[in-house]
Amino acid sequence: MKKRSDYQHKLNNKGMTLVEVLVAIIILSVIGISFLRSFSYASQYNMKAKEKHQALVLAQSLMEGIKAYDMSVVDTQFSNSVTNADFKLYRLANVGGDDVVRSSDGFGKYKLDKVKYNGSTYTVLIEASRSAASGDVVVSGNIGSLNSASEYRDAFFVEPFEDEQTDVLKTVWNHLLSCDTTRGGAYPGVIDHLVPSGTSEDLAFLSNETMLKNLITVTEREMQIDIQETAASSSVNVTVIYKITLADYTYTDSTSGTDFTIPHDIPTVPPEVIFTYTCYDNSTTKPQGVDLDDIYIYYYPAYSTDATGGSHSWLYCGADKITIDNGSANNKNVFLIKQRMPGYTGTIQATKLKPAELSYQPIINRTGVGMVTLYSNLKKRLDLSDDYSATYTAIGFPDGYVHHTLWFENKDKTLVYDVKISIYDGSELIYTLNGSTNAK
Amino acid sequence: MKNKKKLFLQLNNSGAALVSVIVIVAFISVIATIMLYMSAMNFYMKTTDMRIKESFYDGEKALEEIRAALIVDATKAFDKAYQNIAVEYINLTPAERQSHFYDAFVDAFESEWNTQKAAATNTRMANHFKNKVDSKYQAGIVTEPVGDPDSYFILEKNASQGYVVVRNVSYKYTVNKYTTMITTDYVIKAPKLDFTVTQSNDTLPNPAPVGIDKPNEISMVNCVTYNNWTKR
Repeated sequence: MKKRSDYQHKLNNKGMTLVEVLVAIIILSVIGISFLRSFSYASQYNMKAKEKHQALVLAQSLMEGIKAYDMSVVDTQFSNSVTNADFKLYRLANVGGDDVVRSSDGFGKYKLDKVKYNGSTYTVLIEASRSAASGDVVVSGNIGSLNSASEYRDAFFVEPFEDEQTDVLKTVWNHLLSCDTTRGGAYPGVIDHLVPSGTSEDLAFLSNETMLKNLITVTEREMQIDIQETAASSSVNVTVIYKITLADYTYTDSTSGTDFTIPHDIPTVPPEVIFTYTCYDNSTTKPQGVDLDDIYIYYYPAYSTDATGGSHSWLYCGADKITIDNGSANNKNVFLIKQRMPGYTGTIQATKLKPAELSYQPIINRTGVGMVTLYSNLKKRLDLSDDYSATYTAIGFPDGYVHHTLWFENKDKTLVYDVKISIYDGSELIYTLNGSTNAK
Repeated sequence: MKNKKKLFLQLNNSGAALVSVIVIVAFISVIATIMLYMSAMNFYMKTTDMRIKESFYDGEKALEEIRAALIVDATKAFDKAYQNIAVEYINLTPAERQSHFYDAFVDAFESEWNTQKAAATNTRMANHFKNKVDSKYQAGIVTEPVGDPDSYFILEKNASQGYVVVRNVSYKYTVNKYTTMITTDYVIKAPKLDFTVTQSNDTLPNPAPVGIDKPNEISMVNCVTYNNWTKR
């Protein structure tokens, strides 16, 4: 009976499956729960990583958009005049289109609200500020910029120096010829002496140029710049005056064989040779509300020393005066652009300036009711060393109307900006991307 | 007896469910481990991507600071060149003005370059560049020269075209153990000006050298650009 019971017991596995299942469930639960926790953590991490990555993509896109434009352009992108459709920094159409709300809290402080991206809605704060740097680090500087010339706002004068020197010589030439008795003068045979038979006066003039240059001394050269302006018109006239003296001229009358001397101070000699130019007159074309601003004077200097500059050296004198008479009530910018005297040779880099430039010291005089801001290259060397300390005398320029060595604009410009883009989900900061952008 | 034992073994399936569960658990564990591994890899890749980008955008600022320094140098060169051309403006043809302007610009920039190089520690341009970036970036300027220290930063001149190229400026920036290596050339180009003005006493529309690309303004900021930019 017992054997049969044992046998039955061995064969009977009732309840075993239940026990095993219970054990299995427990094992599965223990392992499953630990995995579930891992899955949970993994899921959380991945969600955060996804959020951060989405935020990074958004921040990166905006950063690249900011880098592509000058900060002034970036700033305008947050003004009301730019629609979301025209927003340049990022394709807002892809992230909520017209729902995106843009706002600015001053230059460099911007906000994008309701930015939808991959099912999430973000708030983006953009902060751009002049980069903080120390020592020699350059994040801003005086950067040159050059405005274009305007037909109405700018007047230009280029001194016809070659013509002037010829005309000064011709004035003296004609004076000598007028001394001949056949032309009402007191000296016989001047024309026969100066103009050989069979030669035209023009050709004779050319052959006597050297003699004439030696005869003439320029005691002073003055350039008068006369600015006039009314509501209806503006004009700029330039007068160049050469004050000259002559040496006595001695010649032999070929008919009588007698020597004659024409004195240097005979009264008919013009003490001045005057050239008058109209360099700007818009009396018939002046647009309403457009005023003359800038006057550019390209001129040749009259050096006081170093008269070794070739064929033009006879024009050098000890006194070069430039008078600016501003008859307008408005301030005018006058640019005195000294030209290198023709006759100097060599490349400008190698030659730099001749010694005469070192001692060139014109007198610049401002008169009239209006003020003048003076720009010039008078204090500039052409080599790479320091500028001159003082090379001209200025009269009539009160404080505030000083000499400027540049005649292009030199603006202090921020060159490197720090940019910080923060992405928020509600009030929670998801991601911050730091970068930089430069001026364009 | 042997038959009985055989019958017992055949009838007794105790442990089968447990074995099955273990097999299933093992299988699920493998799948879960793979999924977790992939998930971790995904997380790791995203984190790496973020940190590399953070390193890149942060480190890029050093190159912007060097560019800013070059813009200032280029402005000085432009100042010299502009003054230089102005003093002979009337005597030269438009082509000569253009040519002299480019010559003077390149000449002045090289002079500025040499002056600054001479003033730098050990007369090394790399040390000069180091002074031009924030202290946090200074270590990133690659200073180990290949061969001659003076030839590491190569200055190429093209006076006829009016530009200078500073080659091989390399910068390495490490943050959060992630390193960005950027190598670039800087091209410093003289601004385009209009030199086609003829001599006249009349009012002229453009008698002064003015910008071409931007009619209302030329700016030296646009004269320094990156070229051959590579990132590793």
